[in-house]
Order: sequence, then C-alpha cells, then structure tokens
Amino acid sequence: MGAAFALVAAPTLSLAQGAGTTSQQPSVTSTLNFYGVPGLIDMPSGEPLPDGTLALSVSSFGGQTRTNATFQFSPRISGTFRYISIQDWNSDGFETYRDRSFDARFLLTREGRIRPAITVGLQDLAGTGIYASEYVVATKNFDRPFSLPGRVKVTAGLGWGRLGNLGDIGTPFGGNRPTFDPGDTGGSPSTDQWFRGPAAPFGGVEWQVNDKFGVKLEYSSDAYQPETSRGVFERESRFNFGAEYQVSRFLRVGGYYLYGSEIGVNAQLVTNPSAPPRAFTLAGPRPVITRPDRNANPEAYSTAWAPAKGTVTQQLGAAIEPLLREDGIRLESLTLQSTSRVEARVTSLRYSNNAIVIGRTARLLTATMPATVDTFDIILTQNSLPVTQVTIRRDDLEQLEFQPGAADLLLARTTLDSAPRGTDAETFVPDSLYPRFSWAIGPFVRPSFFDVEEPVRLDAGIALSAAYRPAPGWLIAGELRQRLVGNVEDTATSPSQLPAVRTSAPLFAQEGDTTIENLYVNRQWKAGKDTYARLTAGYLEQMFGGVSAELLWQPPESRLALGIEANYARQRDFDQRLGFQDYDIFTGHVSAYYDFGGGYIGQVDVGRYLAGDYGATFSVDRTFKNGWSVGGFFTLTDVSSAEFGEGSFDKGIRVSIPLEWLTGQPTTQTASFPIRPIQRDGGARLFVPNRLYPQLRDADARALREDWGRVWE
Amino acid sequence: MKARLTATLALTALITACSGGSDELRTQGGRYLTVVETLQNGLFQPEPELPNVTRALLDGLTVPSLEVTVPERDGLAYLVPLISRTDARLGPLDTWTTGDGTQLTLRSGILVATRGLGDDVTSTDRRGSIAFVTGGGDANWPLRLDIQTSTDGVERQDFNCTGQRNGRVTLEIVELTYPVESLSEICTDSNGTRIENQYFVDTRDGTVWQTRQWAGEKIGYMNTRILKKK
Repeated sequence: MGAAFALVAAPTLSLAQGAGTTSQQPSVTSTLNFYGVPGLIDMPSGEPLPDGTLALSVSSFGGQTRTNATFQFSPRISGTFRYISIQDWNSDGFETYRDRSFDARFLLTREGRIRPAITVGLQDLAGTGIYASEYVVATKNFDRPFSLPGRVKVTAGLGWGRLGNLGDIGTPFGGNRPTFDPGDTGGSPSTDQWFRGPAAPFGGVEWQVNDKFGVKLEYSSDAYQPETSRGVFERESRFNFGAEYQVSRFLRVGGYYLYGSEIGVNAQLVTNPSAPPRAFTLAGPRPVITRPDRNANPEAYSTAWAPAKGTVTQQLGAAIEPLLREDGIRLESLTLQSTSRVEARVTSLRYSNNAIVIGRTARLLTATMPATVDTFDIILTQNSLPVTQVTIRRDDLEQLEFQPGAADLLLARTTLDSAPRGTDAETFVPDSLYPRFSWAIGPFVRPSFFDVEEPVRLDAGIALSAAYRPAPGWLIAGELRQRLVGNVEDTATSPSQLPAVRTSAPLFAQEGDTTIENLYVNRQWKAGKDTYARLTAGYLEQMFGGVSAELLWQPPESRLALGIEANYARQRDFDQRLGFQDYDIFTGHVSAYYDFGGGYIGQVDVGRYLAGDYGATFSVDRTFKNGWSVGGFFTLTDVSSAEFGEGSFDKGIRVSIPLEWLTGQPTTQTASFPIRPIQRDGGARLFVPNRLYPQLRDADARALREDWGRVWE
Repeated sequence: MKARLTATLALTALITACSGGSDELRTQGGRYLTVVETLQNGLFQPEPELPNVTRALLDGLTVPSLEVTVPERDGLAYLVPLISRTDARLGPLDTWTTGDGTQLTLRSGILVATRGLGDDVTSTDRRGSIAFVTGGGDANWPLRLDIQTSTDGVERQDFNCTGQRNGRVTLEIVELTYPVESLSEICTDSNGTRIENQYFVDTRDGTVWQTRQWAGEKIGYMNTRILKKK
C-alpha cells in the first residue's frame, strides 16, 4: 500500500515540462540590419519577417546607437519605431543628438522560384528626419549555391534621401527634397519629399553558413553627410562587412566593420506570439462522467426530486462551488431551470482562455447533475456582467471527447448567444461571493520615455492596491503608492499652448512621494439584451478625478460594437492626495469597435479630449488567439501642429503580452506597454478604469470561438 | 545614506510582496505577484524523486501501473488509472493519470488523447491502428492527430499507414517475460513525414504491453509499458 501511494502520489511530471522542450533548431529566415528591419548591415533587404514577428534590436557604431522595434503587422506590412542617439553631435544645441522615427515597409512581391521578394520602404517617414529615405529593394535566396553549405541571400536596391546620396544615378522622379532639419517638430508624414531627389543603388550578400553562423557584405549608398560633417565619425569606405551568430531561438548577435573606420555591434531579439518560450501547460481536467444506460438503469433517470428542486439546487450548488474554485473557476450562481436543464454562471479566475472555463465547468456538471439534466447553459460573466451563454448538450460531452476533430464537433453542436440578465428565486448563490475583498502589496514602476536628456526615466516604489466588492456589479477600488526611487521629476518641462493636462507630468512627479494613484467606486450592469452600462466616480487616474458614465452595445457574434462615454474630469493636486486644482472639463467620446477578422481590430473614438480639443482617435490592433496584441494609434484634433508642439499630433504603439505566454502557466494577467514618442496635451484622453469593451471582449462569443481549441483541455 | 535606506526598502518591498482575497488585482503589483507565484510553483520545483521500480514494489501496488517516457523531453512518469469508460462509437477507453494531472487516454493500448503535457494530442482517429493491433483491419488505413497549437487552435495532421508484422519475440518488463508479437505501423503524411509506431502484443490474450507511438512534432514519440495490469 505504501508503494502504491508512492507511485500514485509521485508528482512526476518531467513529462510535461523540461527546459527548452519547445525550442526548435533556429532556422533563420530573415535577419535585421542596424535600423532593426530585415536587411544586411546598414542597408535594408527585400524580404519580410515571418508574419506576426516582433523584433527588438540595438545597434551601435561610431557613437551612434539605434534602438529599434519592428512588428510584422501582416504578411506584407511591417512598422518600425526607433529611438536613436548620436554622440559628439555638438551642434544645433545638442551635445548628443536624440530622435525618434517611424518606418513602414510593404512587400510588393513574395519570393518565387525565380522572382525575388521586393519591398518598398519608407524610413523615418515623418518630418525632415535625420534618417528620412525611401527605397525599393529586392532579395533572392539561393540554397547551397555552387555546392556551398547553407543559404546565400543576394540583395539589390535603389534608395532615395539618405540612401540616395552616394553614387547616385540621377533623379528618376525629379524634384528636390528638403535637407534634414534638427529643429523640426516632425511627426507628420512628409509625402511631398518621398522618392524625390537623387537615387542611388545599394546591395550586398548574406551567407547563412549554417543554423548558427552568418556573414554579410554590403555596398552602402549612404554618405552619412550630417554625421561626418559634424565630426561624429569619418567615413572611409562604401563597403561594410560582418559576422553574426545565432545564440538562441530568440537572440542573434553580430560584429561588423563599417565604412572603413568603425567597429559596430548589433543585438537582435526576435520573438513571435505563435512561438511561446514555454508551451502552455495545464494539468489535465476532470473526466467526463457518462450517465448509465437509460434502459438498463431507469431509476437513475427518476424525476422524483422535481418537487424539491429548490433544495436540490442549493445542495448541488454548495457541492460544486468549492470544486470549481479548485479548478480556477468562480461559480456566480447555479439554477436548475427544470429537471432537464441547468444554468451555471461562472467567471474565470485563472484562465485567459474561456473555452477552458466552459470545458471544465461542463465536465464537473457531468459528474454532479442528475441524469435527467441533459442541457447545460454555461454563462460566462466578467466582473458581474453576464456576457455569453454557451448551451451544450450533455450527450455531446459524453460522446465527442475522443472523436476525431473533437473540438470542432463540439462547437458545431453548441449554441453561443447573448447571456440573459436575471436568475430566478431558486438560484443558488454562494455565500462567499459577496462581499469580497482582495488586496495586494507589490512593486510599481512608472516609466517616462524619450526625455531630451534621458531616453528612459523611471519612478519605482511599493504599491498597496485593494478591491472591495460589496454586491454584484459594485466595486470600490484604489491604489496607494510610495515612491522609493526615481528620476521622472527631473524631466524637462516644455511650455504648452494648451491647458497642461499631460505635460504637467514632471510636476506630479516632483510633488508626489506618497500618493493615491486611484480611488473610485464603480458600478456596472447589463442594461439590456446586448447593452452594458457603467458608472465610475472618484480619483480615476494619476492626474484627474471625476465622474464617468458609459454605455456599450455589443451583440454576440457581431463584428461591430458601439459605445458612448461622458465624463466630467477635474485636475488633481500635484501631490496626488485628495485635493483638486481649478482646471475641469467635460470630456467624452462616441466609439466604434470593429473586428475585421483574422485578428485585426479597429477602433475609432470621436469626441472631446482633456484639453478641450475635439477630434478622433484611430487605432488598429493585431490580436492573436493566445492573447497577444500589437497595435498603433493616432489622434487628430482641432489643435494645429504648431499648438500641439513637438510631434505635431498624438500617436503611439501598444503591445499586450499575456503572462501565461511567458510562463506557460495559466493566468488571466496581461502586461501592456503603451509607448508614445512624446506625450503632449493635444488629443489626450482621460484614463478611466474598467472601460467596458476591453472587459467584455475576452468573454464574447467571437473570442470564445477563437479560444475553442482548448475546450477539452 | 538615503540611497541605502531606499535600496533596503525596495528590496523589502520585493521580498514581502503579498496579496489576499480571491481576485487577482490587475495592477502592477498584482501582475508581479502572479509572476513570482508562477516561478515558485511552476518552474523552480525540484525534480520529483522516482521510485526504483522492482517487481516486488509492483506486486505491492493495489492499482495497475503504466510507465510512460517521452525521450524528446527526457520525461519519465508512472501513471495510474483515472477512469475507464465505454464510448458509443469507439468502445472501451482507459484514461491514466500522473500525480500532477498529466493524462493519457488509450484504447487497446493505442494512444487516443493526451491532456496536461503541453502541445497535447487533443483528439485522434486511430480506428485503423486499433484494428491492426487487435488482429483485423485493412492493408492501409488513415491516422489522424489533432494537435493543440500555441495559439489556442488545433492543427490536424493526417497520415496514411500500413502495417508490418515482425514475428514473435519474448518481451521482458521488470522481471517478467511475455510472449508477444512485434508489430510496426508505418505512416507518411502528404509532406513526406514518416513515422513508425511499434506495438508488442501478447500472443495469448492480445494485451498491448509496450508501445512507441508518435504524438506530434512537439512531443515526439511516447513510449508506454504496462508495468502492472491488474
């Protein structure tokens, strides 16, 4: 018996994990250049990155450092955001020149048997930026050419602007282009200069010897005029060469000799949402328990309990609730609607994938419900909002799990619909559900990017956050922060022609050590069949407090959702305690959310912003089934570029990474990183906690279909 | 001095990070705690100590035991029965589990599903394989694997298989020997991927004592051995 225990209890699983079990041989497809886009050394190449790839890189040579983030937004389109610093600039009022830039690339033709991949690229596409250039470039791969091992990639292109100023062949599209202006506010696409002025050819060869080593040789068409004229470095040659080494599936490093005078380095961190560092692993579920055969065991199907349905409901609910909690699911309510139908309202406590919640709830119902109950209505709720009703036949659960294509078969026989609001008098509601109190003490970090002196500034400290839920739909929450270290307060303040709704950030940092980050009351409820409502009041965010009301219309399976939000906001005291300043504003937006399919979600918000400006925010996100999302946004308002100041208008990029992608363990937590090249006062939106659309999206029927592959897991 | 105090406080904050209540808080502190807990619970647990399996140890067991190895992951585990049931279309199904919830479902020794391994075999069509090891079937049969993808989808892989009977041998499993027939199931998919499953089937009662079966590219081959049948 003791031995049996040892074998049964041995928590073996070396089977499931094991470091590096998901890693594959690095089969290098495209490598990055010093600008963080697919390319040679300093020159771009014609092939895209694999779809969905997110590539971060840092390159440096001759005192110039470029930090780049490239995202392959679709198979043909990619975007790059870049932060650079150039030492020994010593002119235009800068000792070290720092700037931000955006690139966009479009793949014109995919590589074929004979045809090369051809890409057109816009580098530093806004304003008269230091790296402003355009190019058309072709790349062709040759496997084992001349019996050499590995793969050789040949690239040839034509560049304009910066890439057209050395060895030009004339001006194919004519025109002049303005020269680089270090003092330009930038920000707006400079379409009038694209492909204008002289054009010059560039090219090179990359030889990927094996999965680890590669060498590169290129001919550059960049004269580096702004740099050499300021003595940043001396350019002696048009040729660059170097070698690269693939350290791991994610990391590639290279060393180079550039322009006949400089040593350079490049580190490339390449990741893809569909290739997590660790496989998502979840302990197996409870088994589906099949009912006895009706003919052989008719007593099992007795409905003698029907008159005591209320009592039975309470007993079953009390039995199921702790088991579901053990499985990472909260039972919100249980109702036996008849002797043949049960409704269970559940919320995910652990899984970002709601199909797992549905599957595991259904499995437990097969083990606990009377045999006559043959239909399960499982309702996904999010923060007390019933979102989607999933109706599953018990027969299907019993029969389909081990059939070929089991997930698709079950989905085909399952109904997804809008969740009803109410429950009846006999409903079981766990006593532990309300009131509920949760708290956490942990570190916080508040970054501030792209100050003229320091690219990254940080405040960090300890935060106490707490949430109290007295009744369904009610939430009282807040966060108290104690800053321990930081230098955000040293950020240079720049004058603004608008009310200083965001440019006052350094003042908030200077006066606040012990602060209330937020403290608010939130009430939300399902207002109609497909509409949801929210009211929030209190200290909504670091800089503003007030009252916010929102209504969202989101039918199940609909690509379109519409929302309206109205807020009264008043600027908080810089010390971020209880007081307010004089500035207040009515702000609000009408929003449309559209799911284009394939993971592309668009959003337009039209309305009035914090500084009183009117306009619209446009955003597009590429979302992945596993919860990753990468996107960009920009806001155009009635504030002119001159009034707005540096950057001309508000824009930025955002990345959300589910923590379970990083750890392989289930959790609903997501890390989000919005990055703006610069935060000004125009187009600034009030931050309101618990906006409805993001809350509901994961539990929506469309999201559930995306998640469905894990329903049996 | 102030810097040292600050550093001490910061360190204390990191070490003492803690939480209470049933809701994960969507604040930075809440996320930090999630990561810390994951690291503590999931990644840095010591490798479990496995018993030295002898026949005497197995004889002492009150339940059957299945040994599973996954060479690709250097994995070894001993499983016990979780549930046996009869499926209307597929017949009897046996689900085995480890102590920490990794599950294998077999029918007549044929792998029909895995749970809790990561990159799992969600479902399969192994009817041809089952017919082959139970002594019947056609000259060719389809084999389908539905493999869980990292983007929450399921990837279908279809093979076409033939069987090969390699003759009778004696198989030893932990001090006991069995007269078995050695069978190979050779399958290729449309990309030319070739896999070979192996089965050792008792010539007396058809028990599939030992197998090597393909479970998708990420898991690779799985080896199963019945250490104790009843």
